[in-house]
Amino acid sequence: MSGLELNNLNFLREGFSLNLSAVLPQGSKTLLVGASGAGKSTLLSLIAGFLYPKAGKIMWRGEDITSLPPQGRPLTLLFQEHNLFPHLTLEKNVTLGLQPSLKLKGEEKEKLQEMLKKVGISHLQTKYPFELSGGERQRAALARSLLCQKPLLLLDEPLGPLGPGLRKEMLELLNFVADEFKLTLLITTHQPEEALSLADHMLFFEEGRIIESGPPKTLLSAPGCPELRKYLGC
Amino acid sequence: MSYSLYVFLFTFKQAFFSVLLTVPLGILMARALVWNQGWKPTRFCLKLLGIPLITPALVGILGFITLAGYFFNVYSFAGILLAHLVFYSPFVALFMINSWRFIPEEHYRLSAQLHFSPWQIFVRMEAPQLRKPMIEIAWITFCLFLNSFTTIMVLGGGPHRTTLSVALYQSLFFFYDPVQGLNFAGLQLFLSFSLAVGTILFKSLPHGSSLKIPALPSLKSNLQKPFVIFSLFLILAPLMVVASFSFFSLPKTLFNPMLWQALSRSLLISGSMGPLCLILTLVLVKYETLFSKSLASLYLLLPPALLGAFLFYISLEWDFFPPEVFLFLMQLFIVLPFSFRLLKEPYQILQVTYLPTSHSLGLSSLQRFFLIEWPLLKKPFATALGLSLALSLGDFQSLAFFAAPDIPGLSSLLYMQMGKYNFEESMGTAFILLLLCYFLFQLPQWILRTNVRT
Repeated sequence: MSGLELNNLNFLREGFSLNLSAVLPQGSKTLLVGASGAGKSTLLSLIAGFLYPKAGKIMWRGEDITSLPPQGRPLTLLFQEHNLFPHLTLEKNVTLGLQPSLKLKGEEKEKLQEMLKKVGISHLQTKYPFELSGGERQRAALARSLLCQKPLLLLDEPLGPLGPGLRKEMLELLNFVADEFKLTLLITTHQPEEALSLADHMLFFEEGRIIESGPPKTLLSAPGCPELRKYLGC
Repeated sequence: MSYSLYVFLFTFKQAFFSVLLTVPLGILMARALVWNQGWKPTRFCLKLLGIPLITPALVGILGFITLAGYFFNVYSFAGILLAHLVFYSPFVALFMINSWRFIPEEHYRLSAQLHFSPWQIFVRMEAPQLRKPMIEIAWITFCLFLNSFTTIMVLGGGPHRTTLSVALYQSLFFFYDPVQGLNFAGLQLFLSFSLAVGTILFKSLPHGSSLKIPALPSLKSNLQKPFVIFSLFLILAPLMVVASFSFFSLPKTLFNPMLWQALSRSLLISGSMGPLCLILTLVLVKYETLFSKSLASLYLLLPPALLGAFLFYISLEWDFFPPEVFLFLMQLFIVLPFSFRLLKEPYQILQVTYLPTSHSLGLSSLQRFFLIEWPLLKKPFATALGLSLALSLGDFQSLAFFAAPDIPGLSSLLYMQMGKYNFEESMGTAFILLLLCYFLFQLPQWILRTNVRT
């Protein structure tokens, strides 16, 4: 079943243009791979509604969402950093996913506690972001995204600020929540080898264009195009 | 209640209410500008925000009186508050806009994803992150209003609406009562000491330390566009009034020999003060001492009126010095903190960022200066020089204390004309003063070509 469709998407900014079409099946886990400046974050911003395309359409389950505001789209975007508000405790930061007013009813409180347990941070509720490790901050942001109950999760370099051990943990967690909540994932990364265990599809992106796509294991073991070979250092 | 106590309380009252009006308005202006930065009127307004800093206070007040005088009696408590609001809210906005740069753009995107209403964005996200700069700017403006001189002198000035600074000046020059003057000076000294303690308590950490200033978050809000227009009006209206009225009176002004005398005197003072101040600033920045560390806050803590009174008492004892010596000293204390503030941080960042590399490359002091320091410091250097020239030219307080009425500077000539309700000539003088200030502020930047990328 088609999930996210990008139809002839076109975006222009000083010295940069993005032109692409792609289909991400519902429930798929796609890696978006490319060098810095290739346009990966721009594409996520377009899908999330923080930027608007010059032409083309963004569809979700056959419905055109191109002109919807960010809050009206069926997705959440997790950034590399600054996902948490520094003046709020972890609990309040996560609560925002349920209620911007921060006033929770009984049932919502249970939901929150359940989610915090699921991502393994229920013992850190009273801590402020600066008291947490990079991994704990990412888990909190993930918990909040999941509470928003949006079927599409975009992750912009989610492993970037983490050390090797935490990267593995985060990947396992993402795998778990994607299956548990039946999410469609789109993840940008510089290091596709790490995310092999997670993803079932990969898009190689350069200068605003998709150069090659396919199963990640195939693309990484036998890259077809010279750009990908150069990128992987083959 | 004794008169001294009354003046002391009035000084606090006007400062408190001025802060209460000015800071929220400045924050609203800043928010509107940040949220509409891509809009052409906003870009224009952002360029103009610094103008009130170099506009001579008397010129601004003349424009304000002319404009607001149509609607209500400006020579009143409300007039003082409104004048403070007009002159200082752009300053508050300028300060706050720079603080907005440190809110990560991701937080705005998160807020949008989390369905925050505009009010929730401000209360839940922006305000908590701007709390420190908000308190800091409220404190800075409070100190500035406590030491307010020119505005109170023109719009208040009577015994019922006077601040310690003005009362001190009036004791010496209007009532010739040095004992009363000493009394006010003592109170002002106590106030300055309290402000110094408060400043230490309120001192917030500097934001970041990088030569690269973070960009403003990319935002859009049509609802706030009227505030942008209002900000433009607030900055430009008093100046436009002076410019338009002076159009008719300029020929008459130009034939006044007193004007040329005052002009040459002001230019002479400003022309010598600017470079002298800059050399001193460079020395202080390079060889930082305990004195230079507190120099940046000196203007807030030591009001020029107190300094003027102190120098005035000395001038009475040491009458073998010409008054120009004291005028120079007073101006130096007024201008130095500003140029020091402008140069200190870029110089320190430069040292931290590039000094180790320069040492590892084996660059001599001269090579380091010409290859690294000068190209990167040229811009703040030109701004500091321009500001010194403009502030010195437009300053009224030093002239009020040390300029003889028969050979005034431009500002004191304007004050005399305003005092005689010579509307036509004062408009012409104000316009010339205004133009000269802007010209002198820009001149070093043109000469040093600071707009050329280095």
